[in-house]
Amino acid sequence: MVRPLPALLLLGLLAAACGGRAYDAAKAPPKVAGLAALEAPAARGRVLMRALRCGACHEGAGPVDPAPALSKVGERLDPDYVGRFLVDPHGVEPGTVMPDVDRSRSVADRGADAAALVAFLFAGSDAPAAVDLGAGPDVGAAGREHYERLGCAACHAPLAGIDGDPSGSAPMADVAQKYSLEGLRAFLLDPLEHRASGRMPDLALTPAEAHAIAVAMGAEPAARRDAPDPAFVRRGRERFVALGCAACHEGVVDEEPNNAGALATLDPTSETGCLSGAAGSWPAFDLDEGQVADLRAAIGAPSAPDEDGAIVELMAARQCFACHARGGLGGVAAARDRFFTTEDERTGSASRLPPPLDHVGERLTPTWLHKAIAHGQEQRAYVTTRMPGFGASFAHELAPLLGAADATADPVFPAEPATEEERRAFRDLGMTLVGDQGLNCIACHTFGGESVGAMAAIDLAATTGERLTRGYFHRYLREPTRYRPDTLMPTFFAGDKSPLPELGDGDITRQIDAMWNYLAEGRNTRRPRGLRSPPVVLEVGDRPQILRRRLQRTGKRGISVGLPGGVSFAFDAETLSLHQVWWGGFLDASPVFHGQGSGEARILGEYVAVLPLGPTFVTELGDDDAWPSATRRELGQELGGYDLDAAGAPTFRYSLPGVNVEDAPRGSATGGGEKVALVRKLRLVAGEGTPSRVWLLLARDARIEADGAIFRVGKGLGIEVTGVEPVVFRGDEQSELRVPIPLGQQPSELSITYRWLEEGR
Amino acid sequence: MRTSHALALTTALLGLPTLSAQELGEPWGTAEAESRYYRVVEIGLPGFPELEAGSMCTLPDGRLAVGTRRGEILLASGAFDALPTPEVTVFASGLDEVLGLGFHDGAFYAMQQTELTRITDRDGDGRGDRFDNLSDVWGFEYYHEFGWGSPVQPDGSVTVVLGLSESYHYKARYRGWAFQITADGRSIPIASGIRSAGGVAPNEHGVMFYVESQGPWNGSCSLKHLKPGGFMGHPISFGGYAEPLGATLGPKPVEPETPSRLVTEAERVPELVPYAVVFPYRKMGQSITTFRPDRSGGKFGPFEGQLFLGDYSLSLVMRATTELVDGVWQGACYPFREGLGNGILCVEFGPDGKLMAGGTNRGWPVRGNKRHILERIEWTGRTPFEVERITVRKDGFLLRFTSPVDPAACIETSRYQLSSYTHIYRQGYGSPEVDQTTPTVRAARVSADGLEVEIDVDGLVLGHVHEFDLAGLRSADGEPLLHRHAYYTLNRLPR
Repeated sequence: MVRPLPALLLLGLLAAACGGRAYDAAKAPPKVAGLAALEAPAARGRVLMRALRCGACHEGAGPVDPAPALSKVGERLDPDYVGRFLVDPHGVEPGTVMPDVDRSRSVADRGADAAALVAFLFAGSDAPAAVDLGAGPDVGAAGREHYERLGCAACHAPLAGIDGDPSGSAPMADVAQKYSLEGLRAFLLDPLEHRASGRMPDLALTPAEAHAIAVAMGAEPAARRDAPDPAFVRRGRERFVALGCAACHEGVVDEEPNNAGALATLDPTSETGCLSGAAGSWPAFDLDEGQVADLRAAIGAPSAPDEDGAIVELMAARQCFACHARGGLGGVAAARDRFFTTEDERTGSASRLPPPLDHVGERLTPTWLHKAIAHGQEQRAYVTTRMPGFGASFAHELAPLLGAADATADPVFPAEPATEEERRAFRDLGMTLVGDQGLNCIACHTFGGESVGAMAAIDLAATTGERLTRGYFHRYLREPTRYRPDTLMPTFFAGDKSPLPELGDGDITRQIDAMWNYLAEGRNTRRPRGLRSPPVVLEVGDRPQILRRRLQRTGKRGISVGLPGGVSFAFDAETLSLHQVWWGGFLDASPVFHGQGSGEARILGEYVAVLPLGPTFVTELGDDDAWPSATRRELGQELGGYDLDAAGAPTFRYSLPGVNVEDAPRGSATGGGEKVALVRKLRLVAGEGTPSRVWLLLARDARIEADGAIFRVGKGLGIEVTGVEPVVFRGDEQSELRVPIPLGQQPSELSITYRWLEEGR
Repeated sequence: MRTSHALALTTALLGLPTLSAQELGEPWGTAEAESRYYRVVEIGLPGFPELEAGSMCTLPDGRLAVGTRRGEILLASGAFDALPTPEVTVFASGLDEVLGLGFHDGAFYAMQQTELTRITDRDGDGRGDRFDNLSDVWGFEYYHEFGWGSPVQPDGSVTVVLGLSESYHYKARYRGWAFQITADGRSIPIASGIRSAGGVAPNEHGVMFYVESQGPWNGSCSLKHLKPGGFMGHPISFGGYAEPLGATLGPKPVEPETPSRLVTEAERVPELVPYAVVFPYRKMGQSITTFRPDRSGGKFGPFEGQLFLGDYSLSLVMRATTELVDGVWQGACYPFREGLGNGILCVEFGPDGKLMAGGTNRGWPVRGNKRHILERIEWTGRTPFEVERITVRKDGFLLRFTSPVDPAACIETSRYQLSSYTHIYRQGYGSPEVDQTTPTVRAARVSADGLEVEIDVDGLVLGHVHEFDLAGLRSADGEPLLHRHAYYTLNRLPR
């Protein structure tokens, strides 16, 4: 259903009804969260000036937070809401930093202005197309959980229905009214695109997370809209310019806004103007007394803050202190503590609370620090709350200040290894120290994505070299609690003595530097001793499992097949032969799935029968002939492929010159014995001019004995053939079980059953 | 893992030696600026915590098919949606590192390491149930024998390129060779001399190219024309000429001498095919991988018809353009987007012009620290000021830009800084840049629309990479280029 732009109707009526009377606008002071961390009035005033964007109109009023981008409001916001907001900003959105731009206007003018502005701002865009990502109580509940756990609740008040509203919450509009579902989702997914200031940072939400949060906040799908009257749009544009909107909202019109005069030329105690509290043709901020005092203090302050002061102001302006402590300020407030959770409680409070930022400029490399502030951080997978990204421009301000404030003189590092031999020895020293014969760092820390024990403290190899400064690494290892009083990290070098004096001459600096050098090689460096790749056990459930990777004994063209019931086999696609049959577990794929994957899959079965590698079919063979040694390729044999039956088990197709073979190994619980037998059905179809029979080699072993219909092979394998009578060929050392298969016009069919007859390997 | 392979085990998937993280090239430093024009959206496939994309293709119904190093073919619907919440089904599993995946006539063509396999779903239940071996003529026995497959061509054929044994040796038949595998399963040798390929596909003109990695006989990574009957430069694969199929390619070429220059040896070895586009090591990737042309009709921005390709080590995506000059392929490469999270092994365009990039970061050094994700690069609609492409002229080059240049600034010849160099063509691993020269720009002419600048250059050198530093150029709006560098490999001048 298409509806007219509702704000236009509503506001038109409002204007007509109220005529030229003055408008009694609601008054609510702007709310800028984070100010509580600041003690000095001038400091609070400077942060306020930035948030209120004084510098957008007044030269010399310092930097401003960019105002929201208006180019896409039509895709995000509800026009009705925007109309009401423009009529009475502080009534509709108490706490907003947007001023009521001109209180001298009559109510009729306000209504007309708002209607025209809405028409202008929403022209050229319709409501976004609905993308259904689901609704319902589950989605809402997931959204609430995301809101609490991922970081929204670190700054904002908890969602209605969740008890308690910790003080100091960042203000939030009635988003269910303000945004459409699609609009809120788009905003949450990329807040910096819409609000470049970064006051609302980017939590790197997935679409599903953003959607669930938007649902939990009560946002509704947008209604389609008519295009507004072009005359109204033109009027809106005129009013946008005349009211000075462009001073803060950039990129909408080309006209330069009027400058309201340099700050230095203004009288902060004047009875008119922004600080006066009087109504007039200037922007009304509805400041409270404290805010006015703070602003006056800032305006009167002799100079800019020093480095530390600037850091504190920037951190307050973005509410960094809601999560992080630095210099005795901030940290997670008791009332919000429950919103900081972890996937892994074993590493103590560090596993759930954001780290303190004391020394952060010493700790992190400049590149990493910038990246973390601008784009967020995800090195601690176990911390549920996400470090969001505040955008590059904020990072460009804050990161260099932190780096300068925290700079610490480095120790004298050991000399670089001079030769390749020295380099290797130095690296081996680092590797030994990290491993289980050294400091055993891997007992607690993940290493290149792998961990030995239950604890999974921050990955040592993934980012150490890029993330941490070398100097900090040295100091931290010598004295971890100086940096993290609550850390579980042991002090290995207490009393300036190495616990491992026999390594690297016991020189602590050399030992630490060797670890640094080794870890800086990154995730794919050699594994330290004691770190084993965890097995990748391929389990066979209801369906057969297939793995075409290098298999022990069979080689690189092995096709391993695990069948339900506990019997597995390997078909060698290079020689076209059933090469191994085993009972028990299927495979450990770790050697082919980890690292470079250059190992071979390991058979997990307890009872393994190894059969001869092919070619197992030959077309010409005398009774006394040894089995030919030619390759199957030399014999013109080819692999056609395999088909999977409805259950997922393969039937192999291959050919000898003039003969097509179908080879279907299946598990059979009725094959006799305690274990599931492998029953292999063979079907041979001969073309014209083919020999009258082919030979199939089933087994080669020192011991092959007939036992009734069963041939015992080696220690435990029993082979039974039905359809054709096998023969035992006795060689000098080994015997062979051979099957002469007659070929005719009808397909030749035979069945071969493999059983494990007795315990043993 | 055999101890006798210790040497080989220190070499990489794409043939690079094991490097430490510190040895990865420096970032371009442009990721933040690039993000204004091209955003990267992470896409996980639910239910696949160990996603390691080795190949991709987009299906006619808009789904994304992913061939993985773990041997699956996964079908994801919704991966290209504006709000991607993909649903995934398993079409096939248990394959051997799918490093080439195509779809043709209702069937998948998977280049798994052991063979090229056609996989069909006969009963229509969404799982492949017939696996036809189209070719397994090559030897597959040793460590590091990686093979890559092209998309299926209109005639139903697939071209496969086969890396050497242990990345250095010819220990199994046809390692270092390329074959065209026809729809009926015939294997036709195309070329020898491959070292360690990183992908194979038609270039933007429909001519089959492959990706070669830095190493022996390759001073740097490059795109090469898979010229039928050609020799791609690494003579260890000459053993294949004695094999039954290899003999049909022609007589064994003359052995190149080492150390030398490729232009010198091409005089002696007529089959030797020069690098079409050299990617200077570290500046432009360290192990470049599979490319795809942009056929989005502008939905991916101003680079329609160009090649896009990733790099495994440095987690970035680059552009390349090629042209046929005097019968020889050559062209240029350009930085595009860095700061991806994974080691990129494959890229693929979706139906609406978004570029999916996938890969892994296990086993070898990779800058990106995220694994088991796909990353989708999408155009924000803002056009960066970039060198759109460089093509060669008799007396220099034609530079085309994505938006008009400032004519007053761009006729100043001093704003074009050129350098040229080549690499040693040798048996040893890689090469520094050698034989440096400094060509000079004699004249620069700006087209009426401001989109093209023709430069006359003194000192062009055949066989050299011509590196452009265009930091001094400005757009009509006064903006500098998003990326100041471009690299043109000059094999021939137009007659």
